Amino acid sequence: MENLKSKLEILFNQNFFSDEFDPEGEFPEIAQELLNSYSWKDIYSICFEHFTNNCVTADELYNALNLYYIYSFIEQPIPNPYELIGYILFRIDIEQDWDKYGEFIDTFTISILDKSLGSNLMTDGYYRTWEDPKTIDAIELWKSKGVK
Amino acid sequence: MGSGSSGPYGGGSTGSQPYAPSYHVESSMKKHDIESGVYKGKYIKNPTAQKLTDMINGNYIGNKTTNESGLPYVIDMDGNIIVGKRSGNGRGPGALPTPHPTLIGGSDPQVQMAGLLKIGGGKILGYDNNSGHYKPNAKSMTVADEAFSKLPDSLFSKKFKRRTK
Repeated sequence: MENLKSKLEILFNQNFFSDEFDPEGEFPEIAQELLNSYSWKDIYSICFEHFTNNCVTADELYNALNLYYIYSFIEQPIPNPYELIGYILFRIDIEQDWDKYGEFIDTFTISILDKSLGSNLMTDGYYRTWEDPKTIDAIELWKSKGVK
Repeated sequence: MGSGSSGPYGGGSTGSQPYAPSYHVESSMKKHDIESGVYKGKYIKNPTAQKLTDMINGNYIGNKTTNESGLPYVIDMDGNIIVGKRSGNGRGPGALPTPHPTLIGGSDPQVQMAGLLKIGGGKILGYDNNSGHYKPNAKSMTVADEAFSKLPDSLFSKKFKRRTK
Protein backbone atom coordinates (compact mmCIF):
# COMPACT_ATOMS: atom_id res chain seq x y z
CA MET A 1 0.00 0.00 0.00
CA GLU A 2 2.86 2.37 0.78
CA ASN A 3 4.29 1.73 -2.68
CA LEU A 4 0.92 2.60 -4.23
CA LYS A 5 0.61 5.67 -2.07
CA SER A 6 4.05 6.98 -3.06
CA LYS A 7 3.32 6.45 -6.77
CA LEU A 8 -0.01 8.25 -6.54
CA GLU A 9 1.71 11.05 -4.69
CA ILE A 10 4.01 11.49 -7.66
CA LEU A 11 1.05 11.46 -10.06
CA PHE A 12 -0.89 14.07 -8.12
CA ASN A 13 2.18 16.27 -7.58
CA GLN A 14 2.05 17.14 -11.26
CA ASN A 15 0.73 20.43 -12.54
CA PHE A 16 -1.69 19.52 -15.32
CA PHE A 17 -1.61 23.09 -16.60
CA SER A 18 2.16 23.45 -16.90
CA ASP A 19 3.86 23.38 -20.29
CA GLU A 20 5.98 20.46 -19.13
CA PHE A 21 3.10 18.12 -18.38
CA ASP A 22 2.35 15.74 -21.26
CA PRO A 23 -1.26 14.44 -21.16
CA GLU A 24 -0.15 11.47 -23.29
CA GLY A 25 3.21 10.93 -21.63
CA GLU A 26 4.76 8.99 -18.77
CA PHE A 27 2.40 9.95 -15.98
CA PRO A 28 -0.81 8.69 -17.64
CA GLU A 29 1.13 5.52 -18.47
CA ILE A 30 2.12 5.10 -14.82
CA ALA A 31 -1.55 5.59 -13.90
CA GLN A 32 -2.54 2.83 -16.29
CA GLU A 33 0.06 0.51 -14.74
CA LEU A 34 -1.39 1.22 -11.32
CA LEU A 35 -4.88 0.38 -12.58
CA ASN A 36 -3.52 -2.90 -13.91
CA SER A 37 -1.58 -3.73 -10.73
CA TYR A 38 -3.66 -2.58 -7.78
CA SER A 39 -7.29 -2.73 -6.72
CA TRP A 40 -9.36 0.27 -7.72
CA LYS A 41 -10.72 0.41 -4.18
CA ASP A 42 -7.21 1.05 -2.82
CA ILE A 43 -6.37 3.52 -5.58
CA TYR A 44 -9.55 5.50 -5.08
CA SER A 45 -9.23 5.66 -1.29
CA ILE A 46 -5.84 7.35 -1.70
CA CYS A 47 -7.21 9.69 -4.39
CA PHE A 48 -10.10 10.67 -2.15
CA GLU A 49 -7.73 11.27 0.74
CA HIS A 50 -5.61 13.48 -1.50
CA PHE A 51 -8.63 15.52 -2.63
CA THR A 52 -9.99 16.08 0.86
CA ASN A 53 -6.76 16.41 2.87
CA ASN A 54 -4.32 18.03 0.46
CA CYS A 55 -6.48 20.05 -1.95
CA VAL A 56 -7.65 22.89 0.22
CA THR A 57 -7.98 25.58 -2.43
CA ALA A 58 -10.15 25.58 -5.53
CA ASP A 59 -7.09 25.69 -7.79
CA GLU A 60 -5.45 22.74 -6.05
CA LEU A 61 -8.58 20.64 -6.34
CA TYR A 62 -9.20 21.70 -9.94
CA ASN A 63 -5.69 20.60 -10.89
CA ALA A 64 -6.16 17.28 -9.08
CA LEU A 65 -9.48 16.60 -10.82
CA ASN A 66 -7.99 17.31 -14.24
CA LEU A 67 -5.18 14.87 -13.44
CA TYR A 68 -7.74 12.31 -12.23
CA TYR A 69 -9.51 12.72 -15.58
CA ILE A 70 -6.40 12.43 -17.77
CA TYR A 71 -5.25 9.40 -15.78
CA SER A 72 -8.58 7.76 -16.80
CA PHE A 73 -9.52 7.23 -13.16
CA ILE A 74 -12.85 8.86 -14.00
CA GLU A 75 -13.79 5.75 -15.98
CA GLN A 76 -14.05 3.79 -12.75
CA PRO A 77 -17.16 3.72 -10.50
CA ILE A 78 -16.77 4.99 -6.96
CA PRO A 79 -18.66 3.85 -3.86
CA ASN A 80 -20.17 7.14 -2.73
CA PRO A 81 -20.24 9.57 -5.66
CA TYR A 82 -22.29 12.25 -3.92
CA GLU A 83 -19.70 12.43 -1.15
CA LEU A 84 -17.01 13.35 -3.69
CA ILE A 85 -19.27 15.64 -5.69
CA GLY A 86 -20.34 17.37 -2.49
CA TYR A 87 -16.71 18.02 -1.63
CA ILE A 88 -15.96 19.32 -5.12
CA LEU A 89 -18.83 21.80 -5.04
CA PHE A 90 -18.06 22.71 -1.43
CA ARG A 91 -14.47 23.52 -2.33
CA ILE A 92 -15.02 25.04 -5.79
CA ASP A 93 -17.61 27.79 -6.05
CA ILE A 94 -18.83 27.32 -9.61
CA GLU A 95 -21.50 29.95 -9.19
CA GLN A 96 -18.94 32.64 -8.49
CA ASP A 97 -16.20 31.21 -10.74
CA TRP A 98 -18.18 29.60 -13.54
CA ASP A 99 -15.90 30.93 -16.26
CA LYS A 100 -12.82 29.43 -14.62
CA TYR A 101 -14.08 26.08 -13.37
CA GLY A 102 -17.73 25.59 -14.24
CA GLU A 103 -17.73 23.85 -17.58
CA PHE A 104 -15.25 21.15 -16.61
CA ILE A 105 -16.82 20.58 -13.18
CA ASP A 106 -20.29 20.40 -14.78
CA THR A 107 -19.51 17.38 -16.95
CA PHE A 108 -16.92 15.88 -14.58
CA THR A 109 -19.47 15.50 -11.79
CA ILE A 110 -22.08 14.04 -14.11
CA SER A 111 -19.53 11.55 -15.43
CA ILE A 112 -18.81 10.46 -11.86
CA LEU A 113 -22.51 9.82 -11.30
CA ASP A 114 -23.07 7.97 -14.58
CA LYS A 115 -20.07 5.69 -14.04
CA SER A 116 -20.95 4.99 -10.42
CA LEU A 117 -24.74 4.73 -10.57
CA GLY A 118 -25.15 3.29 -14.07
CA SER A 119 -27.27 6.31 -14.98
CA ASN A 120 -27.30 8.27 -18.25
CA LEU A 121 -27.59 11.78 -16.87
CA MET A 122 -25.12 13.19 -19.40
CA THR A 123 -27.77 12.82 -22.11
CA ASP A 124 -30.28 14.77 -20.00
CA GLY A 125 -29.81 18.36 -21.10
CA TYR A 126 -31.79 19.51 -18.09
CA TYR A 127 -29.89 17.70 -15.34
CA ARG A 128 -27.83 19.97 -13.09
CA THR A 129 -25.61 18.33 -10.50
CA TRP A 130 -25.78 21.40 -8.29
CA GLU A 131 -29.59 21.26 -8.20
CA ASP A 132 -29.65 17.58 -7.26
CA PRO A 133 -31.01 17.30 -3.67
CA LYS A 134 -28.42 14.63 -2.90
CA THR A 135 -25.65 16.99 -3.98
CA ILE A 136 -27.07 19.80 -1.88
CA ASP A 137 -27.21 17.51 1.15
CA ALA A 138 -23.64 16.36 0.54
CA ILE A 139 -22.36 19.94 0.35
CA GLU A 140 -24.11 20.79 3.61
CA LEU A 141 -22.51 17.79 5.24
CA TRP A 142 -19.04 19.01 4.26
CA LYS A 143 -19.90 22.45 5.59
CA SER A 144 -21.06 20.98 8.86
CA LYS A 145 -17.76 19.13 9.32
CA GLY A 146 -16.00 22.45 9.75
CA VAL A 147 -13.59 21.63 6.93
CA LYS A 148 -11.58 24.72 6.02
CA MET B 1 -29.99 6.91 -9.45
CA GLY B 2 -29.42 10.68 -9.50
CA SER B 3 -32.54 12.55 -8.52
CA GLY B 4 -31.77 16.10 -9.64
CA SER B 5 -33.89 18.26 -11.86
CA SER B 6 -33.86 15.97 -14.87
CA GLY B 7 -36.89 16.96 -16.92
CA PRO B 8 -38.59 14.20 -18.87
CA TYR B 9 -35.58 11.95 -19.17
CA GLY B 10 -36.15 9.96 -15.98
CA GLY B 11 -32.41 9.58 -15.55
CA GLY B 12 -32.11 6.65 -17.96
CA SER B 13 -31.86 5.84 -21.65
CA THR B 14 -35.21 5.41 -23.38
CA GLY B 15 -34.02 3.79 -26.62
CA SER B 16 -33.24 5.22 -30.03
CA GLN B 17 -35.30 6.38 -32.97
CA PRO B 18 -35.53 4.14 -36.04
CA TYR B 19 -32.59 4.65 -38.40
CA ALA B 20 -32.98 7.63 -40.72
CA PRO B 21 -30.61 9.77 -42.83
CA SER B 22 -31.56 12.68 -40.56
CA TYR B 23 -33.35 13.17 -37.27
CA HIS B 24 -35.83 15.64 -35.84
CA VAL B 25 -36.20 16.35 -32.14
CA GLU B 26 -38.37 13.76 -30.43
CA SER B 27 -41.82 15.21 -29.90
CA SER B 28 -41.91 14.47 -26.15
CA MET B 29 -38.68 16.39 -25.71
CA LYS B 30 -39.91 19.31 -27.75
CA LYS B 31 -42.95 19.58 -25.53
CA HIS B 32 -40.72 19.87 -22.50
CA ASP B 33 -38.50 22.39 -24.27
CA ILE B 34 -41.54 24.57 -24.92
CA GLU B 35 -42.56 24.38 -21.29
CA SER B 36 -39.08 25.28 -20.09
CA GLY B 37 -38.54 28.17 -22.49
CA VAL B 38 -35.74 26.53 -24.45
CA TYR B 39 -38.11 26.58 -27.43
CA LYS B 40 -40.04 29.80 -28.04
CA GLY B 41 -41.27 29.40 -31.58
CA LYS B 42 -37.76 28.20 -32.30
CA TYR B 43 -34.90 26.76 -30.32
CA ILE B 44 -32.61 29.19 -28.57
CA LYS B 45 -29.03 29.05 -29.82
CA ASN B 46 -26.26 27.78 -27.60
CA PRO B 47 -23.92 30.78 -27.47
CA THR B 48 -20.89 28.45 -27.34
CA ALA B 49 -21.91 26.48 -30.48
CA GLN B 50 -19.13 26.31 -33.08
CA LYS B 51 -17.68 24.02 -35.70
CA LEU B 52 -15.25 21.56 -34.19
CA THR B 53 -12.79 22.49 -36.92
CA ASP B 54 -12.75 26.05 -35.57
CA MET B 55 -11.42 24.70 -32.29
CA ILE B 56 -8.38 23.11 -33.94
CA ASN B 57 -5.18 24.68 -32.70
CA GLY B 58 -2.17 22.89 -34.20
CA ASN B 59 -2.37 19.30 -32.96
CA TYR B 60 -5.02 20.05 -30.38
CA ILE B 61 -8.74 20.59 -30.05
CA GLY B 62 -8.64 23.76 -27.99
CA ASN B 63 -5.28 23.31 -26.31
CA LYS B 64 -3.18 20.80 -24.38
CA THR B 65 -5.29 21.29 -21.26
CA THR B 66 -8.71 20.81 -22.89
CA ASN B 67 -10.57 18.09 -21.01
CA GLU B 68 -14.20 17.40 -21.89
CA SER B 69 -15.96 14.33 -20.51
CA GLY B 70 -19.23 14.92 -22.34
CA LEU B 71 -19.17 17.65 -24.98
CA PRO B 72 -22.45 17.64 -26.95
CA TYR B 73 -21.98 17.42 -30.71
CA VAL B 74 -24.22 17.17 -33.75
CA ILE B 75 -23.45 16.55 -37.39
CA ASP B 76 -25.47 19.08 -39.34
CA MET B 77 -27.05 18.56 -42.73
CA ASP B 78 -23.85 19.82 -44.42
CA GLY B 79 -21.70 17.27 -42.59
CA ASN B 80 -20.13 19.75 -40.19
CA ILE B 81 -19.41 18.64 -36.64
CA ILE B 82 -20.93 21.29 -34.39
CA VAL B 83 -20.05 21.30 -30.69
CA GLY B 84 -21.04 23.46 -27.74
CA LYS B 85 -20.78 23.46 -23.98
CA ARG B 86 -23.34 21.41 -22.12
CA SER B 87 -24.35 24.44 -20.05
CA GLY B 88 -23.74 27.00 -22.75
CA ASN B 89 -25.58 29.70 -20.81
CA GLY B 90 -23.61 29.08 -17.62
CA ARG B 91 -25.37 28.80 -14.31
CA GLY B 92 -26.44 32.33 -13.56
CA PRO B 93 -30.01 33.14 -12.49
CA GLY B 94 -32.46 32.08 -15.16
CA ALA B 95 -29.79 30.51 -17.35
CA LEU B 96 -31.61 28.28 -19.80
CA PRO B 97 -30.28 24.78 -20.53
CA THR B 98 -28.67 24.19 -23.92
CA PRO B 99 -29.51 20.66 -25.06
CA HIS B 100 -28.45 19.29 -28.46
CA PRO B 101 -31.02 21.14 -30.66
CA THR B 102 -29.61 24.47 -29.48
CA LEU B 103 -26.36 23.67 -31.28
CA ILE B 104 -28.30 24.38 -34.47
CA GLY B 105 -31.20 26.49 -33.26
CA GLY B 106 -34.26 27.30 -35.33
CA SER B 107 -37.79 25.94 -35.46
CA ASP B 108 -36.99 22.37 -36.53
CA PRO B 109 -33.28 21.65 -36.27
CA GLN B 110 -32.48 18.49 -38.21
CA VAL B 111 -29.22 16.62 -37.77
CA GLN B 112 -27.57 13.60 -39.35
CA MET B 113 -26.18 12.52 -36.01
CA ALA B 114 -25.93 13.68 -32.38
CA GLY B 115 -24.02 12.49 -29.37
CA LEU B 116 -21.28 13.24 -26.87
CA LEU B 117 -17.60 13.81 -27.55
CA LYS B 118 -14.81 13.06 -25.07
CA ILE B 119 -11.59 15.03 -25.19
CA GLY B 120 -8.52 14.54 -23.03
CA GLY B 121 -5.47 16.78 -23.13
CA GLY B 122 -6.80 18.37 -26.30
CA LYS B 123 -7.12 15.03 -28.13
CA ILE B 124 -10.25 13.12 -29.09
CA LEU B 125 -10.79 10.12 -26.84
CA GLY B 126 -14.10 9.00 -28.32
CA TYR B 127 -17.59 9.89 -29.48
CA ASP B 128 -21.00 8.20 -29.20
CA ASN B 129 -24.65 8.51 -30.15
CA ASN B 130 -25.97 9.62 -26.77
CA SER B 131 -28.57 12.33 -27.26
CA GLY B 132 -31.74 12.46 -25.23
CA HIS B 133 -33.33 14.89 -27.71
CA TYR B 134 -32.49 13.14 -30.99
CA LYS B 135 -31.84 9.55 -29.88
CA PRO B 136 -30.09 8.69 -33.15
CA ASN B 137 -29.99 5.06 -34.13
CA ALA B 138 -26.68 3.27 -33.56
CA LYS B 139 -26.51 2.67 -37.32
CA SER B 140 -25.89 6.40 -37.70
CA MET B 141 -22.52 5.97 -36.00
CA THR B 142 -21.16 5.45 -39.53
CA VAL B 143 -22.09 9.08 -40.22
CA ALA B 144 -20.06 10.15 -37.19
CA ASP B 145 -17.19 7.90 -38.26
CA GLU B 146 -17.15 9.52 -41.68
CA ALA B 147 -17.21 13.07 -40.29
CA PHE B 148 -14.53 12.45 -37.67
CA SER B 149 -12.34 10.52 -40.13
CA LYS B 150 -11.85 13.76 -42.04
CA LEU B 151 -9.96 15.21 -39.08
CA PRO B 152 -6.16 14.89 -38.93
CA ASP B 153 -4.87 11.82 -37.06
CA SER B 154 -2.86 14.13 -34.80
CA LEU B 155 -6.10 15.26 -33.14
CA PHE B 156 -6.85 11.78 -31.83
CA SER B 157 -5.57 10.38 -28.56
CA LYS B 158 -3.38 7.27 -28.45
CA LYS B 159 -6.29 5.78 -26.51
CA PHE B 160 -8.79 6.37 -29.31
CA LYS B 161 -9.94 3.21 -31.04
CA ARG B 162 -11.43 3.55 -34.50
CA ARG B 163 -14.52 1.41 -34.90
CA THR B 164 -14.23 -1.46 -37.31
CA LYS B 165 -17.11 -2.18 -39.68
